Amino acid sequence: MNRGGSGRETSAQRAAPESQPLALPDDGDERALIEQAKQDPQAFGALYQRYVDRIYAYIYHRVHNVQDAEDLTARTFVRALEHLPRYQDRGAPFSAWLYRIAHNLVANWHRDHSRRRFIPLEGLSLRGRAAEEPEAAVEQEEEHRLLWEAIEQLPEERRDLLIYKFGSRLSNVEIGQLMNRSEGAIKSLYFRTLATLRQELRRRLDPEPPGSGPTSQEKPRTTP
Amino acid sequence: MNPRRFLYRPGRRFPWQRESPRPPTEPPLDTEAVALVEAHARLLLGQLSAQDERLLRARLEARPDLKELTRLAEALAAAIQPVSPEKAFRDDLARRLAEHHPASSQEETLRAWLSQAPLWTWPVAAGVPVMLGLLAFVWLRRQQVTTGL
Repeated sequence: MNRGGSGRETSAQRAAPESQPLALPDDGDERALIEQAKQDPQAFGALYQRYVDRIYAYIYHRVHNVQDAEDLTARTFVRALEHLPRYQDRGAPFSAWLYRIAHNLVANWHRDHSRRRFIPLEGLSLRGRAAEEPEAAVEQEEEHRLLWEAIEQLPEERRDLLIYKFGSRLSNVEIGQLMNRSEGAIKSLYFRTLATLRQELRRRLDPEPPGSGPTSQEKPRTTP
Repeated sequence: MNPRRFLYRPGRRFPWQRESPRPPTEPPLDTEAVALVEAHARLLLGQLSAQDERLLRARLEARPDLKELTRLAEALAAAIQPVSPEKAFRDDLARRLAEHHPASSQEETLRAWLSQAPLWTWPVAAGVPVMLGLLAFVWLRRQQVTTGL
């Protein structure tokens, strides 16, 4: 289990204030900032301040540890700065581009760390409760671990949706902009994601006994 | 083969026009359930007024089939908490970005490649032109043999 930098986690993984949606900024204002940053890299600072929290939150929930989240966040913004002169506005928000960079870096990270698939404790948000109710905390920790393991099994798009929704507190419109889908499609996808996750959790909690394969009626049809 | 088989008849599709079997589609969703679960997520995120919350709870009472999904959403909201980076990290990265001088793209690509390429790739990379030369030499020799030159 990766506990690297465990001394920093409790203070580093600070929960953002409740009910504080991270609203997307005004498009015109953002375009002006991007154009300015293309000419003058110093102006990139404003874009950085605007997006660092949500990019960090996304990465943190994908890698589950502070050190790697910080490293990948830094690399995301350095790469964005490097490639900003070639950035073209194609209608999607600037944050979609940043998320894409972060997504690629996280995918590379997972590829490089594919042998150590685990959900470290530091990602389980149990800090306050552990001292007060240790038994309940352990139970909840186990529940969260199970949940995260099931989330990790979801298709990428659905996993990202949950992180955008709960981790970054983005609205459906904002998530739709990032994922190039309509608001209605995001709602449906969220519902389907919950249903899939419920199935996955049921499967994990109540696995079929060995040898009880699919019956003749359940067997998938195979085409000749 | 009977050519009549391929004579055109209105509405007939030739073999190359036939559609491949469609992949299984997901069943249609219960729109009320989708709306209620979505509203419940907004409630969890603190984006619902007290009045809407009462209405929602009343409607969820009438849908016990959604209880499991809403409980799962609550567990998700507890497990996927918003996080923010430490201030020291934020400030340090902001400073590093301000001091950063973007390199040219080729230079950056080369540097990235050099830093990431493992040591064993060097002899392989050096061996590729040699192998290509050898292959070209063998091919030319064979050409000479077959043409009698």
